[in-house]
Amino acid sequence: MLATVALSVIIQNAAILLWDPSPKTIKHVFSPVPLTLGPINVVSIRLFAGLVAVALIVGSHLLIQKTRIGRAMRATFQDTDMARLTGVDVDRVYMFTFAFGAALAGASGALLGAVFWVYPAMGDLAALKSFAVVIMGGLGNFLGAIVGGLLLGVSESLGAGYISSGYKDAIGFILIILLLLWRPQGLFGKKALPR
Amino acid sequence: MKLWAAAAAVALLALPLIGVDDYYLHLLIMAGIFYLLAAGMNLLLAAGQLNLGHTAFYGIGAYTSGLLGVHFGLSPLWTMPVAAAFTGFVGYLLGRLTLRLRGAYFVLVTVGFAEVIRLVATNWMDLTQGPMGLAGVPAFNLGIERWTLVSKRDYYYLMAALVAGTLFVTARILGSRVGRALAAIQSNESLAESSGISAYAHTMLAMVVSCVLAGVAGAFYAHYITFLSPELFGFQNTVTMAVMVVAGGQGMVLGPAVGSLVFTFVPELLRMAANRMLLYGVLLLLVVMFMPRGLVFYLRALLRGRAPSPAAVQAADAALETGRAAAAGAAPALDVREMTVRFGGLAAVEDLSLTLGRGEILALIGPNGAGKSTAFNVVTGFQPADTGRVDFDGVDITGLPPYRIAERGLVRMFQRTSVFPEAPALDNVLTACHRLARTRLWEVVLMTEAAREEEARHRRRAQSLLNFVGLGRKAGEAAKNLSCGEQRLLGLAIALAPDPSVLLLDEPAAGLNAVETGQLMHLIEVIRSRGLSVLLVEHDMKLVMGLCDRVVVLNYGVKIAEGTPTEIQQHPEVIRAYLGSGEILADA
Repeated sequence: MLATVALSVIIQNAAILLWDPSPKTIKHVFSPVPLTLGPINVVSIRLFAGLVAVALIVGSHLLIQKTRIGRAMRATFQDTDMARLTGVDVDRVYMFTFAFGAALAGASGALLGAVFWVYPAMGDLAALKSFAVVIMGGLGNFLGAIVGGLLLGVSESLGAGYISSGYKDAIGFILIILLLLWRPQGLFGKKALPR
Repeated sequence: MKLWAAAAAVALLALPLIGVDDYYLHLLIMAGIFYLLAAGMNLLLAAGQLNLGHTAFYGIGAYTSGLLGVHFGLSPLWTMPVAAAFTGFVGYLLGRLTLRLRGAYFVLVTVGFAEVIRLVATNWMDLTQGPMGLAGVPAFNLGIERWTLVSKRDYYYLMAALVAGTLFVTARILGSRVGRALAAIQSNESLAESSGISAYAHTMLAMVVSCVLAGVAGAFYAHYITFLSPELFGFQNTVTMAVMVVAGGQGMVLGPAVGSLVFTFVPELLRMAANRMLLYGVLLLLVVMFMPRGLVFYLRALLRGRAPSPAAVQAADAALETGRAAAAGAAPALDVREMTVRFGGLAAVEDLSLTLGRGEILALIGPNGAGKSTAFNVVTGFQPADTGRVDFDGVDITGLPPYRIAERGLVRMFQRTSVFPEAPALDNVLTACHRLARTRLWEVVLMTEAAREEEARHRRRAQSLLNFVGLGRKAGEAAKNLSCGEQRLLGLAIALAPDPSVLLLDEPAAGLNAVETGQLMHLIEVIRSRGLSVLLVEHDMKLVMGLCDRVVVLNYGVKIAEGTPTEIQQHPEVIRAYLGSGEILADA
């Protein structure tokens, strides 16, 4: 875990060195004029980002549920030794999973960068929030991550709108704390009994 | 190692006297502040709980002391203890809510808590002046002008005293039965609880101590820098603390100390380089990759040349000392009445009643999935029953937490996870002696005569229990290096350590060969002859039929037969339940 922290320090500072710390925008082909669908106004780049996100979620789900490498990933998660015994190359699965996760993070970075700005420290809050979302849903639970992500995003925006924008991030975290007090193993996690 | 530490301490204390530049003293003071924080984090980490919101307590301590100083003009002499106590109290409140969470879930809640506190400090302008910061926090003064701390050197010595105190307290806590209990909770929480160790109480203790330390660190910072801003709560500070603990040597007393020194000075020394944070990252990566157990671990190996030799085996007899089992009463040792446990629509145990008489050996048998382990889990408090009641020595224990049940003298041995794998065999048993301790925490920290004597007594008891199960020579061996059979025997010694009057054994002979099973049967006979009552779940029919007074047979959660071994062997329904295996007749 600490090694990933070290890596992120390195990459962040390399980015500062190579470019500079100021926020930049990504040029894209979408028009800045919002589309109007009934009562909803949405800028097309945001619609595009949302659609890509949905596609990525569906794609990852299929990868995890339907492919050979997906099955190997699930087996490794459940019982590493048993997976190894049945011929799964666990190290390769770890490597692939890490790379796959990094690719997803890269994709979301590109989308976020197109919607907002790009700057070296943009990953900090995102890392914290994605960690929160994963745990909220229950570790290693794909559906949990989706529900958790939606819950966090919506409640933060509503909280910012109706309560106070200064406390936007606090509202999300208070929600998470309350949720974990109610279900200590996450939304969809299961409790283990001793043997 | 001791010599080196003493030399380092003397050198550090002498620094201001030989005219070291104030800049370096400032760095050392900052390293001291971070040491207090890292030491607290380390303490909680000993129990396996990572608090990634430690900055919250640092900041609470700083703002409490600072605000009291700014608004009421109180001297830091008073505000610092108040800030420390208040921070400890906040830690207690957060602990009450969150300490039942484990692993990543606990980490997340602490991160969230720190973020919430940071936002409050930023947005509550009236109290904290928000992002502009709180200026004019008074410097240290002890009432009279002359006692105001002005020079770096004064602060340096105050910090040195705080560091020495923290080193002392954390070393004593980690080296005592409390430290053993924390390690046990991390390595095998269920076994710790069933040995009478309350995971909640011990993690709470670590939490409160660590928060008090953070409060002291924060208050010191407030009066040292005399200016506070919400940046104090920044996640960067948390990362720095975690780096110091983990790279320094997690779980070791000196780990956070070395870590805070190294990781305060390295970034400063790299300041000359243009891209210092980049180098810092690379360095951190190297430490993590090549010294995964922390700097102190490798330093110690370097200074000592080798790993420490296992503690010498003390002379102790193989006696099984029992203090309470002889106490006789009218009620049965264990009385289970109409217990039902359902998982969804499926009844794992249905309407089970059984009685264990004093000094009796009772077996609970049945095909796999009959509900035996579930019944054990309910009796020992690991799982609630839907209906029913469990009486132990005539007292209702239904719904008590596992460690309370163990405290009363009902102790179980687990089927699979019966040992603390990383610890030496002797420490395994010693940890389980926890329930017998009578000394209080302050006695342990000050290492009073009574505390030392108690520790020696428990050590003797642990060794004699190891001798009793035939593992006397393996006292220094890590439990995970023992053979499967030896681990079962060690599990038995652990279960005996809290001096139980009733022993619950979950498949004690699983994985044992015929000779080892014979030894185990003999041990259980001896245990019974000392007045203990034994309830066991077992598949080995030779053991069941040769050892037990009575047998209860479960099938699909329902009791289908009860009687002496001979009666059971001829019971038509039992034969039907086991049909296809035929073992029950062939082996007996």
